[in-house]
Amino acid sequence: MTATVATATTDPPAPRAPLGARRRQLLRRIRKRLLHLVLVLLAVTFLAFVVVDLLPGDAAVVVAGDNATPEQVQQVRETLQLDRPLLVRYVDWLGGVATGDLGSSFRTGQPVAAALAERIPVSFEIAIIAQILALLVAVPLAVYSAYRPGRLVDRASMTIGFGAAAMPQFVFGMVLIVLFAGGVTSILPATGFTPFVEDPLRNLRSIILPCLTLMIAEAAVYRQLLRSDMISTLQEDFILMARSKGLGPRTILLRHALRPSSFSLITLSGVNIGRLLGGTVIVETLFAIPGLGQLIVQAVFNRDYMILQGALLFVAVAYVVINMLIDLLYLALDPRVRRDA
Amino acid sequence: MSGELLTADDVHVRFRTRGGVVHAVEGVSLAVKAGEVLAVVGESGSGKTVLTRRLMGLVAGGRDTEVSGTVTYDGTRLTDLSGKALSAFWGAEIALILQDPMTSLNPVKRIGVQLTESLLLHKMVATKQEARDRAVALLRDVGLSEPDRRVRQYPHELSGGMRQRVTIAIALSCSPRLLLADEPTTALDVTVQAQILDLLADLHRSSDMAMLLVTHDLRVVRSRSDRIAVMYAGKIVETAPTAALFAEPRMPYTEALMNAVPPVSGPNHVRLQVIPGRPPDLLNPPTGCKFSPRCPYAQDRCLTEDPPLRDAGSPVHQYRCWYPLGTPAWAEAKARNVERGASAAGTPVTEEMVLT
Repeated sequence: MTATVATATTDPPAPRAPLGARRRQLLRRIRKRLLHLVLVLLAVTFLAFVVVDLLPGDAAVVVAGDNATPEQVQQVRETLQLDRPLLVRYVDWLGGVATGDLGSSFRTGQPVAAALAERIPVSFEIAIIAQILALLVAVPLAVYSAYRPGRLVDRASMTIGFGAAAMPQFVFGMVLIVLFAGGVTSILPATGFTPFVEDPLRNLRSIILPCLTLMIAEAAVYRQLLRSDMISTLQEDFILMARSKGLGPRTILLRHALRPSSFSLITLSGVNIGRLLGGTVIVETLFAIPGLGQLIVQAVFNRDYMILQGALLFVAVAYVVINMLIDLLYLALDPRVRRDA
Repeated sequence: MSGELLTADDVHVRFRTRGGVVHAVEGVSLAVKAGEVLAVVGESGSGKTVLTRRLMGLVAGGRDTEVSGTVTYDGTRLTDLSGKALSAFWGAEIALILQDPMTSLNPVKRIGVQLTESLLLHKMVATKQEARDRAVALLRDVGLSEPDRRVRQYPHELSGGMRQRVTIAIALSCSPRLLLADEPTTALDVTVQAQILDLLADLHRSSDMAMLLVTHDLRVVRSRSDRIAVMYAGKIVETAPTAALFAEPRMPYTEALMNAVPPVSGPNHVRLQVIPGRPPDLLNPPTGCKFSPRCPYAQDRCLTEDPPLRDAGSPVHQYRCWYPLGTPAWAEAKARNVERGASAAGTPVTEEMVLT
């Protein structure tokens, strides 16, 4: 411990964390989260294994085709080693994962890792851009609405936001298609996806509508959440203090009130990124985007549980990692977060 | 009149709430001379805080707030200014200290930043480095140990007393000519209270700054103010130079406030004279004198007619009372109430309660 001695007439200072304590705490948090991650992964993948196994029909039937004889199905089952007990298959799969082998698709024979490598960047790009758009729209509206609650901007953004959020995603998506892709105007492609590395401009054009469809409901919720947190922050004494210094509304809103109001927004945003990374079936289907969501749905229909397991593994890892990053972000944003040490 | 830095004339503040209209400040007129310390004393809910904020302009008229009256600062009518024009005075000319230092500092900003932003805003310093040096010097001036380290700390790393020193440093950073201190020691330990009050007195002595010291504790201001204004239910009920007020209080409420303070010297275990009843409900204020329901001397007239502010011999000592302490009328009222065992409002009165 560093000895801190009060020299003046004032009471002793709060004990200051010795150098490196913060880093140790950081490591402890990360370690805790990683342990968490392992448990989550075991639970999620095992559950998926059991559920796929319980579904009527099995992979062998699907792979062998509609016209296959029972003998052929049995043969396929043996080749795919589906005749082994569930637990044995699961442990076998786990062993593969531990050595970096996610297996291959039963249907196409494509390695799972390769299938994921195709889909993940697509879902990742859409999730991140939709998130950024949602925040870009929601934060300024929320800050202004909190500054002038009940006025025009507040009411209009609330009405429009909730109207749009209450609409089912596919309806909103179709409205966008009608407006921009073939109905009223045709300035954007309605379907399809071009990878960024192939043609950045076409890539951006192809993800605008899906991202808009995804962001609207989130922007509405974010605005509402940040607005109410901002309003309660603006009641705080330290805001009165800031006003009494002569600071203008802009400085007070952005420099004094925004950060202490943003914690629940950040939490929710983290949860949403994690969710979006797992793919968004409706939007991917509507706009024919080859993302993770489609991969997972197809894998379920085909009883292709190697693909399914690999995808779920990624989704769970992504979810936990994102939340870990959010947790660390708190440390940076709020100096008071020193609890659960 | 010359030498008056801040004058308030017939200031009213009303809040429209769901329960009705709250008349928080009801026609307050006061003046603070350059360099003097004016204490505003009253119980919770007497309107002192709202008055302070209205004087500064932090409380302004709006959808649920009605204001009237004028506030003039050094020749400028603050009540005519826009929010933007007002904020040029805030921090630079008029500064504010709040009651609870645990909540009046931004929890996510370093002490140094909270200090330097005022300095930079009001162009007290040219560069950030200069601002930082000034911040350290200011923290040293308010008696904080290790000011170099404090500027890098966050509020939660400091104790309550230290935080109040920081808010004082912030308030004084731009050398304001008027400091409004709204119960600056109420949230602090008794030992720390004295330190903070002494610090304020020191800082006041070493500058020509005037101070409006708001408190509910008459003891606090006895040796630390030039004049005292006693507030009750949104009105000033007595105002006088400090010595005169303590020597010859006229308003029974002032007397009651003095008696409600346990004496530091004298016998132990004496029953403390509390003020019976509770502060009036500002949604439905009593008619007549607002203190009459709690006043041991109240007569019928007090219940119906609101006494005006009257001079007690000289215009520097004014009070609102029909039966001012020490007068024959008061002695008669007292005798009558003791005899019937109750005031005109029905409050029980015993010999013991009116010993003074």
